Amino acid sequence: MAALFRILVILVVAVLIGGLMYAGVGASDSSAGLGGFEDEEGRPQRPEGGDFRPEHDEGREGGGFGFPGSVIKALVLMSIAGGVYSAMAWAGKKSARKTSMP
Amino acid sequence: MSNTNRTKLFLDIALFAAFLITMDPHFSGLAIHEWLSLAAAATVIAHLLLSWSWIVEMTKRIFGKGLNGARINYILNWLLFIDGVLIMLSGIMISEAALPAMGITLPMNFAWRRLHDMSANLSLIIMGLHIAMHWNWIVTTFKRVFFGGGKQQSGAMAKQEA
Repeated sequence: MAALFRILVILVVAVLIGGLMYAGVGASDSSAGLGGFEDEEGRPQRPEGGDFRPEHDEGREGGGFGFPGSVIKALVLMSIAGGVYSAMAWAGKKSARKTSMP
Repeated sequence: MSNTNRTKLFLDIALFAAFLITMDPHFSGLAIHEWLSLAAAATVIAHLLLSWSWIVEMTKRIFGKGLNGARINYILNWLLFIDGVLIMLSGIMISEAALPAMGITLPMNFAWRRLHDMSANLSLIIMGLHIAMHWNWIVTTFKRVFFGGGKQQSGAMAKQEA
């Protein structure tokens, strides 16, 4: 029962955040006149043929486990972010040690 | 080695693998990218449930004195959660495989596509920081689970208790 309540809390928070974002995107689109595909009556539509992705996204639906370039990019970016944090934490500890020395 | 820590480690390894695979739709294909992301979202809920006591404790003490590292960790976790919600929401809004397979078609909007890319790129940085902040726990738990450190420690703990 407690787990169900916790799941509910997580989902409610996610829905609140998602709702705010949805409202934000809707508001920015209506003010900038961006984005949607609309029919003659102004109802939103998907583009004909479903080809909504940018050009470089061709072949996404094909799959087949090609060269995982973005996986490597992701690992490199995460390593850099983690490395920067670790370096900052290490420098912070070092300076704290120096100031605590007599 | 508690069962919770063991479960957390296996769950986190699975989640990390899913995160990497979903980061490259070219590699996995769009259908796997979308279905795996939905499954990963459910796994994130399990990940949060396993850390629930820490979340509740930190939420109560967030404005207390000290706890600088924990406070940064807490804020970073919130950023990761918000970014995750944005990735999922924008992904659902531009879904071309999972939602249509369920008979749901949503209106398309280029803003969601851009948000999906931006939030995914941002998640790499936040995830890198998240992993770095928990690196000691990851290494320690990994060693205990896979190299038997847990048995030694539980033996030592039993001796202490005796």
